[in-house]
Amino acid sequence: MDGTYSFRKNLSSFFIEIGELTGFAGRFFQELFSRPFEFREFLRQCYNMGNKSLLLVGVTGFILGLVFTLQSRPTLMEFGAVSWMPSMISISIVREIGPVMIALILAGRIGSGIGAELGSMRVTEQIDAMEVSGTNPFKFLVVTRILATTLMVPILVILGDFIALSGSALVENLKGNVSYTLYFNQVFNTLEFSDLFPATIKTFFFGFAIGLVGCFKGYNSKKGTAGVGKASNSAVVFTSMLLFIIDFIAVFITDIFYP
Amino acid sequence: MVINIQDLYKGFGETKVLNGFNLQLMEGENLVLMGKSGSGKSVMIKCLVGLMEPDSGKVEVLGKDISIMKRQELDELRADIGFLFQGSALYDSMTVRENLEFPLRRHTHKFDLKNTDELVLEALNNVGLPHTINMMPAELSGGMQRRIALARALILKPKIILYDEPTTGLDPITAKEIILLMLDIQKKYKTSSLIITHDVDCARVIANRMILLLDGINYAEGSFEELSAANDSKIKAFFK
Repeated sequence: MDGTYSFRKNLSSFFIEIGELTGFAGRFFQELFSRPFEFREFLRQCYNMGNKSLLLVGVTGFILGLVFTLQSRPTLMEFGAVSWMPSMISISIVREIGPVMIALILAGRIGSGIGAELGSMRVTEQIDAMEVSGTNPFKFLVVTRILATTLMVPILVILGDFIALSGSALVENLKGNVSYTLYFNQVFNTLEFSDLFPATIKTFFFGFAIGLVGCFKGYNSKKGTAGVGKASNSAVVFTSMLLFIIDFIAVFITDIFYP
Repeated sequence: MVINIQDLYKGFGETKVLNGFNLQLMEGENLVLMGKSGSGKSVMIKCLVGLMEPDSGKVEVLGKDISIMKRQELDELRADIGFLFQGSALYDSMTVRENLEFPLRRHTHKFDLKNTDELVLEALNNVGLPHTINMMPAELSGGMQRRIALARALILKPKIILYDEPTTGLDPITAKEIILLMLDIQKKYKTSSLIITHDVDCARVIANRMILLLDGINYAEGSFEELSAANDSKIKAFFK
């Protein structure tokens, strides 16, 4: 009985949260097109998110390509299909693994950071101070961050994809004596518009989701330091789940247009 | 009269915090509001600057009813109100200079941005901390943070300053320095001040008039001397 009650309560609070998140997204679009535009803060956020995530994305992407190639090599060799390696790796990384893995890493790096930062600003009355000084804190803090993640995540994903392919090329060069020129020629011969376009479009949605959930959790953080930790943690959990849902929808739609 | 609050009611669910609170702040006056923790002092001050919406009642600041103001009008009015938050509320991702510049950049109609440096330095000189201009808030002590927050509250040259427990969390010496600084500023800029405090020493030095808030209403009102000499046990409890 208690279990059923608890399940219903959790389910109901989940749907309430989805409703609140939708309202929050609605407010974002409403404030997005109204003056003043906080361009300076938007650029600062782009710089912070992009520049400070470069190393993480670079290292992760490189290891991803490296490991993926090392793990796939023996199987492809068994079937005598090792020459297909650049094509297989590039399609896997560009279409699916690169965007999802890098978005998940950025959800941890950027989403939790936004959740913790805004949560702590809420708790220490910095958001109230901003409002009292005649600033719309939603516009200054939320709109700029969501816009910055929406723009920076695709850029970081493209960069991460390229670094992952470089990692893969290194393995092929060392293990299979494949030159970098040959490797990348094969990669670019394989990749088509239908691989690149949907994969890039979905990363904008990934970026939007990372910014939106991080801001939502942080901005509505309850009082106290425990609330800040909770905001940061739940931002990552919620965003990760949302990323998979967006990915599923994106793949489903892509399959309709590019079967 | 610069602030006029009449019959202010505010509750959170079943809990009623303010039950018909009244307050009038005169020009150039230092009015101290004392009350127990949870008595609604901070709620009242937040209703005053539009951070919270009252359930009912009238809140007028500089003759304008804030309940009917649009966001832009309210933001313009806020340029005339300085607010010192209990925990200083400095933006911790910005330097002291950026913290002080922040309100100036919001009110470009009132100030020329070319004079930003001068205004920042003037505000920092007022609180005796010009050397901290390029420091981050985390590098400052609690007392210094409170002074910088005061400089930020002052930078727009407001007509009214609201102090939310200005000496809470500070050692007695630093608290005294902050109180004296508040007095200096009041004399220099002829501001009207509403001070929320638990600190009897602060009230003794700074108050022209006091209001004691109990159960969401004005329980007693008068000068520090009148109230501290009262025989009522509830009033006496404030001065122990």
